[in-house]
This record gives sequence, C-alpha cells and structure tokens, in this order.
Amino acid sequence: MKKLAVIIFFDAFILMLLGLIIVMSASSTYSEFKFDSLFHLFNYHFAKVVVGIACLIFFSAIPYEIYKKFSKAAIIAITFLLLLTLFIAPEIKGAGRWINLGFFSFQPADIAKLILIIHLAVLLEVKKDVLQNYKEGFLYLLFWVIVIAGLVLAQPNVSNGVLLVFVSFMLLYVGGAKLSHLLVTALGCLIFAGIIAMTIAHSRERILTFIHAAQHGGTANIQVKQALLGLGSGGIFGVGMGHSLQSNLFLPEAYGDFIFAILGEELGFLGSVIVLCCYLILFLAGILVAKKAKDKFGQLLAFGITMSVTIYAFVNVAVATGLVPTTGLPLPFISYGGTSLIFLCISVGILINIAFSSAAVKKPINQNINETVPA
Amino acid sequence: MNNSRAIWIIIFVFIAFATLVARLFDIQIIRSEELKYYAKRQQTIVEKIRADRGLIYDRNNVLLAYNRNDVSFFLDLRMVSNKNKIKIAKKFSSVFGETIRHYEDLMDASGKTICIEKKAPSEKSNLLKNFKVAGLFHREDPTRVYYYKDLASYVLGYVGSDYHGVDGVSKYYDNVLSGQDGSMVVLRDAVGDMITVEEKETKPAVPGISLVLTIDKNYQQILEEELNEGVKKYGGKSAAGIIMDPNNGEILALANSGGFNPNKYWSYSDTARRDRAITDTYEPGSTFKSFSMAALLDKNLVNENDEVFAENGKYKFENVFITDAHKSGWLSARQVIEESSNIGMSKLTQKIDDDTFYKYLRAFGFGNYTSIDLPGEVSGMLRKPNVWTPVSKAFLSFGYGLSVTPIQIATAYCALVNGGILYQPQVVKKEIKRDGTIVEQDNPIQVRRVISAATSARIRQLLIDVVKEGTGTEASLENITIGGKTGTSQKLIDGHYSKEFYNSSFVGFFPAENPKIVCLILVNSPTVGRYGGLVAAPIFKNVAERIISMNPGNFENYQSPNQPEGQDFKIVNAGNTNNKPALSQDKELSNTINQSNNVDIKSGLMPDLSNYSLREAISVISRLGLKCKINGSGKVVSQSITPGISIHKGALCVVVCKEPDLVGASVY
Repeated sequence: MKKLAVIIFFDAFILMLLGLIIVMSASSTYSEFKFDSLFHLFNYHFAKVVVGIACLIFFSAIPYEIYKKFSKAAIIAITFLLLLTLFIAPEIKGAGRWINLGFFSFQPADIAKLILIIHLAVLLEVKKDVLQNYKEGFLYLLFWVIVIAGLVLAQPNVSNGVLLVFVSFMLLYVGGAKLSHLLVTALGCLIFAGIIAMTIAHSRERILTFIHAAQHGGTANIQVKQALLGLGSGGIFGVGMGHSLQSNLFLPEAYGDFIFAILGEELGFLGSVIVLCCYLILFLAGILVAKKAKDKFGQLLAFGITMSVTIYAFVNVAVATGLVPTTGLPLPFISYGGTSLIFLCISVGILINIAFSSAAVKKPINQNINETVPA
Repeated sequence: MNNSRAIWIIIFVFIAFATLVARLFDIQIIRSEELKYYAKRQQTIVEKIRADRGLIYDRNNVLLAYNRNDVSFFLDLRMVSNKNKIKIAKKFSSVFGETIRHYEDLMDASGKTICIEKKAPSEKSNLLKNFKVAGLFHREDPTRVYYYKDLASYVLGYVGSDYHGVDGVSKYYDNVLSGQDGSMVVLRDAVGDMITVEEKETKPAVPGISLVLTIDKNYQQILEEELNEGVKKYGGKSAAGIIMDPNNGEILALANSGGFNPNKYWSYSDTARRDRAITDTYEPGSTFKSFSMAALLDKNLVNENDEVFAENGKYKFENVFITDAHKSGWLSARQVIEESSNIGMSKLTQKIDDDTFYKYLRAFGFGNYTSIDLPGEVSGMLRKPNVWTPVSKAFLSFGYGLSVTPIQIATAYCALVNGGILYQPQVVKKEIKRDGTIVEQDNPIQVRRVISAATSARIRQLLIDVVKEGTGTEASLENITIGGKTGTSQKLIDGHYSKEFYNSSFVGFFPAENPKIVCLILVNSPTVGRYGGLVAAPIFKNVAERIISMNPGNFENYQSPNQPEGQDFKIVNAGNTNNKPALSQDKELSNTINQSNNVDIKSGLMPDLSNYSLREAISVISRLGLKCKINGSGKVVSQSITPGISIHKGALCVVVCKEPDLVGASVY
C-alpha cells in the first residue's frame, strides 16, 4: 500500500509541476498586459502550490478515522456557510460563489464537496444495514445530497452542483444502495436539474449555444473555438513548452479553466494523452487504495475522493475539446485554481493517509464487504 | 465496496477517457492543419514595409531631396500605469527638451492611443532605444527633406502625409519615386501588439528610383533670388521665370517669386504653392511679335527692310484703335520689332492669310499643352480662324486675344532661336537606381520643325537688334551678345484692359549667335516702370550676368552664326515616359533626320529623296557625286532622277522642294 501512496503523491506532484510551467506560459502575456509583470499570476499560483503540497503532507499524516466524529457537525456548518454565501457573497460572473475572508477568498462549494463525500461515506457505513430501505436508509443519505447540491445549485453554480450529485450517486452506487432507488431518484434529479439549468440565465445560454453549435457543426463559443485552435495548432508533438501563441490573449483565461488547450498546444497530442494517462493512473491507484482500505468508511472515502478528481479532470478536458457545454470547472492540479487547489490537495492528503493506514493493517477485509453487501 | 459495481465504474471511466483521446486525435491530428491555418491567420498580420522613396538630384548631381529616418512615439494609455506615465514624461522631457508638464498634459488625453512625439530624428530616438515601458511603442515615420528648402520647390513639389507626391515631379513621377513596398509577417497578440517577426516570410521593399533633374541648382538659385529682388524693386504682385536650354528643351531653372518651403508645405496657401509658370495664363503682348514676324519671314511675305507706316502712334483699324507706346512714322520691318510697334506689326501681318498664320501659331505650340513632365499644366487659349473677327489677326500679331503660359512662350522661343525645332520641355534628365545605374535616359523630344533654320537665324538677328538698339537695351551685356524681346500687356480685368495693371515680360537668349540659354522673365503688375523693357529686362540682365560670370568659359567660344540644322539632335526616344499623345509628325521628323545618314551611297542606285529637307537632299546628292539644281525651299517633293535607277556620276539632278504643309500636324 505504501507503493500506491507514493504513486499517488508523485502523480499529483508531477501534475502540479506541469501545471506550474503551463500556468507560467499561459498567464504571462495576460499578466504583462494587465499587471505589468510577467509573473504576477504565476507568483500567486506558485504560492498556492506550495501551500497545497504542505496541506497534502499535513493531511496525509492525520488519521482519517477522525473525520467520522466531525462529519455531522461539519456538514451542518457548511450548510449554514452555503446559506450565508447566498446572501453575502459578491456576484462574480452572475454567480455568488465566493466568500472573502480578507486575506483569502474561497468557494464554499469546494469545501462542501469534500465534506459531503466524507459524510456520505460515514452514513453509508453507519446505515449499511438499513440501506436497502428507502425511507430509513436511502432517503437519509439523499437528504444531505439534496441539501448540499441544492444550495450549490442555488448560488447558482450549476456545473459544480450537477457534478456533486453525480459523484454522490457514484458513491451511493458503489456503497451498495439499491439500483432501483438510484435510478428513480436520478431520473427525478435529472428532470429537476434540467429545469434548474434552464431557468438560470447564464447556464441556459451555455447549454443552448452548445446545442445550437452541435446542430450546425460549428463551435459553441469563442473560448471553445480558441481552445480548438490551440489544440489543433499543437498537432502530434506540440509547438513546445512555452511557445504557445494562443495564450497571447486569444484564448480568454487560458491559465484557468481552459488551460488544457494551452497544454495541448504546447505538448501536442502525445503530451495531452500522457496527461490524461496521469489522471487514469491516479484513478486506478485511488480505486486500489479504496479496495484495500481497512474499513468501509476508508473505502468509500477513498473512492469518493478519487471519483471526484477523475470526474473533474474528465469534464474539464471534455469542455476544452468541445464535447460538453462550457462549465467553470478547473483542471485538477494544473489550472490556476486558487483555493480549490488547496482543497484538492487536502483530499489527496486524506487519500494518501487511507493508503498508509491500510498498509499498516494487513488484515484482508474485502470478503467481509462482499458478504454484507450482495451484488 | 461492491466490487462488480466498482468494475462497472472503472469501465465507465475508461470509456470516458477513451472518448477524450478519440476527440483529441480528431482535433490534434486529423483537423490539425485546418485549425493551424485559422490559428495562424489570427496570430499573424502582414505588415507593410515602406519602400524608401527615390532621391532627387539636380543636373550636376547635387542632392535636392532625400528621406530622414524619423521615428514617431505612441502610447497606448490603457496599458500605461500612472507610475510609468511620470517615468515617460521625465524621460521624454530630458530627451526632447519639452517640459514634463507638456507630456503629462498629453497623457491626460481621453484617447486610447496618443502620439507623444512625432517624427523624432534618429539622433534623439536612438537615446530612447533602451527605454522600454509597457504601452510605449514607436513606428518608423520617415520625413522627406528638401535640403535647400524653397529652392526649386515648384519643380520638386512635396509629399503629403501619406508620403505620396502632391505636386511637381514628386507627383508626376510618383510611381517611379515610390518604389515597391515590401511586407513582413508579424506575430501579434489578440490586442494587436507585435510579438516577433517571421524572418522567413519577409519580403523586402524595393526602393524607389531616383531622379536626376535637368534643373541646375545654381541657375535656379540665381533665378529665384533675382525674381524676388525684382518683385521687391518693381513692386509686382508676383513674378515667374524660366531658363531653358533651347537645343534640347531641358528646363535649367523654373521659379516663381515668393516660393514655398516643401518641408512645411502645410503652412502655405494653395495659391502660394501653385506653379504659376505652367498653370497661369496671361496675354503675352509684344513678346509674341517675334512669332508673327517668324511666320512672315518664313513664308517670304516680308523682308527685314520692307517699310510700313506706323501712323504716328494711333491707327484706326476696322473701327478699333491700335496705339503705340513710341509714336513713329515710317518703320522698316526690323524697326517694327526693335521699337515694338503694334501698328506696324498688325499692318505687316495682314500679308499672311488667317489659316497659315494660325497654323504657325499652333506649330509653335500655342493653344496646346507643351507636355512638360510636371502636373497641372494648362493649354492656354488660341481661337480657330473660323471664329476670328476682322481684327483678331491684327491683335494676335502683337500678342492680344489669346492666352499663353510662361512655359509655352519659353518653349516657343527655344524653337524660334534654335534653328526652328520645337522641343518638348522637360525637367527630368534621367532616372537612376541607388547604385547609379541608369534606368531610363530621358532624351530630348523633338515635337516638330516650325520654321526653317534660315528664318530662325533671321529672327535671332532681329532680336539681337532689339537688345542692341531697341526696347530691350536694358538687357544688354558687354562681353556677350544678347537677343531678346520685351513685352508689356495690359491685364484684362473684368472684360476691360486695365490702364493700371500690366504683365511685363522679357524673353532673352544668349550667346545670341548660338543660343545656349533662353530665359523668360514675367512680372505681374509691377508698380514701378511697368514696361517689360524697364522691369523684366533688367531682371533678365542680372540673371544672365550671374550665370555667365559663374562659368564664363561656357559662353565665350561660340560657333559661327550659321548653326547647321539639327546639329545637336539626338534621335527621339520612342519609349519616353510621357503618356500624352505624340504627334504623328514627330516620327516623320525624326525619320527624316535619320534618313540622310542611312542612305545607301555605295549601291550606285538613286535613293528616294522625298520628304528630305533641302539641306539633307543637297548633302546626299553631293555625296553621290551628282550635280544638283534646287527649285523652291522646304522639303523635297519630287526629283528628276527616278529612285532606284543607277547613277552616272556628274549627272544633273533637279530637285523640287516645297514648304512643309502643317495642315493637320498640330491641330487636333
């Protein structure tokens, strides 16, 4: 299990290192243009990476069982924080998502995601006996998913909200919830999410332009168009590290949600695929950690965290390549991300701790789970 | 954890990532070329490299106009922080000497981009080479420099803000001077700022061709100084002057009083910038009598000694009074010109019929463009005989009832004194590349023969007498013979001839026996002296004196008075740069001149002499060893020995000649 911990650590570390280089390349022109300094954004990002790695190491040393005790209090607290955000957060790009504490601002949704995964993992372990019962078990879990995801959606942060529901359902599915319950609820959620997405102006716009573009064979919007030009310019081998031309203000926020386009331009098809493989390795390593975790809480927590990172990576790349409508989600470890990078590092720290913990206890526990949860 | 469910999820994730890889394959490999094309199109712009404009030299290779590599500095205010604004103001202030406040005020402007320093000379802009601030950029902004400022400004013209010629040769030869702009591919960002230049795809500019003018800088300077001095002295509104080489039509100097500085053309009015020597018409007055006399002499209708009664100064002709300034009784034709008698001239002119007179005047180029290679020329006005009144011819004979430009008079005088050939006036001698190789040699262009060489010689003598003992004595110089004619015409103001305003002119030439210089001086509305002989003649004299004293050797050893016809002619260059329609007779004329040298003497066969000039015919016949008898004058129309027949030496050949018929030659 130690090997998995090392793999996960270095995988994340390499991606963050690559992120530093690409952010430097993608943000320099913008920084120069906006702040008179090539390194303005890079310096911020560098600081976040350093703090992130510190957090990663710190949290990998904290025994993950501790979270069991605080999960309920934490989820109630975050619920209030999200409610607070709804009223006090300043509007950025039509969405009140941020809380500013003066010295740093963060998206409560980022913490809520982690806390929800922890709490769902706790509940799945606690309620494993009554899970098949809709009212007693499933509904109890669904309640928190709906509360947290609902508040995130209400910010409105449709993409984060939808992914939160998606990751939660994955967790419930793997955690042994009844398939029929999941399907019925998923259908309900889908209809509800659809209604929500179409009522909120900016997400409706994004979806409609995406559908329109898909029908007419064009590209959805300027960002996606520029992202495709960047990726296409890269060809097989790329234009070389630091030689991106699309980052010369052509691709808006090239260092943020669309950083994959710059990465693809500089590293080409081969580089892009290698980066995707890094995420897949992280995913597989995470799944193995989950499989070998010493208790069900550890398993589900590891799975939830792994799933979250993987889904975010997938959606971000899918957006940059124009496969799905534009969302405001960062590319894990690589994007100029601010605080979401720090929470991501905390999650990975927890994942590594789970890997270490299971390595310490060499007792096979897989059979137990198979017995208690029939397929 | 449910293993089989976990496996489903692993499969699901792998499918998702496989989709991404497939999508990337499509974008980055299959559609790569297409996307690269569009990306490149927005990332690069093709920028013009301005071609260096051709230089302008005078005939002795004195540089008159060149380009200075100035640089203009611009600021994109959106990109400049307040801290940098202070930095920029301080730096620019120290380099250009303006106050810091001056630059701060400039930067307070509301525009997005401002020009902070326009056309900074390179010695200043070099000081700013290493001064780099975001938002500060510069652009090459060359300045056309006319080194001698006002000198020859009307010939040179100037360039406008777009660096294209606006007047003078700058405009007429703009295509030649401009060269071909090059281009370079510039990498830019979305805001349009240059990042770097693609060296491989840069197409260099082809610099413009340089012009060597026929203008002599020294003559030009003399003429300008004397014109301005004359206007000051005689109180005229303006004055124009032209110095030409009569033997090839080259303009040696062309000036208007006042002048303007082409380096600062914008501070002069359109009137001040107008080249009055070619764009303004006037009634020539007595200077025109020479042409009337030339027609009469050429037609053998008048002899220099024929007497005519000048009516003592006042003559009623067809109910109109013609008056003379100098009241005279009987005058010889020579004296009519010497004393400039209007009455005498109008009486003599009655001997020539309207059509012939008109044809001579047209042949001299009146009522028509001279086709000088300068823009804006006007043709003046000469009515056709069918609309003449009974008095038209009489008035035309002393230069009233038509309008001419100074360049027309100067050009026609060249034909009058050079042996009878009208040349097209030109200001450009040759077009050369930067390395000095000649691109185009602008050879003299003969338009037509107007009068015979003999007539020309007779007119020269008459005009020498004018300066010796007639109205032009003010123009005479001690060591050289000057010929010339004065002219004083009342200005036509609101349909009446003014008693107050005159155009006073003098056209002279020297050395009179073999003229190398023809010079016209025209003073508009002088208040002192009025008469051409008293105003323009002294100006001419000063010009002539200074020109001769500059290089006396050029004018001392003149040749015999009987200058052989066509001595200095060069064959017309058919490929001249002029676009104006050439007369059909041009070719004929040049062919004729060609023929006399090309005749096959050795074949022993009689050549066809038709259309040969008298002189050429005699030359050919004597070379063939034949005796010759000539009937008539002008061009050969028939010969007694049929062309193609073998020749017996010593045989007699009778050649019949006729004056060249000018019908249709100049009227179109």
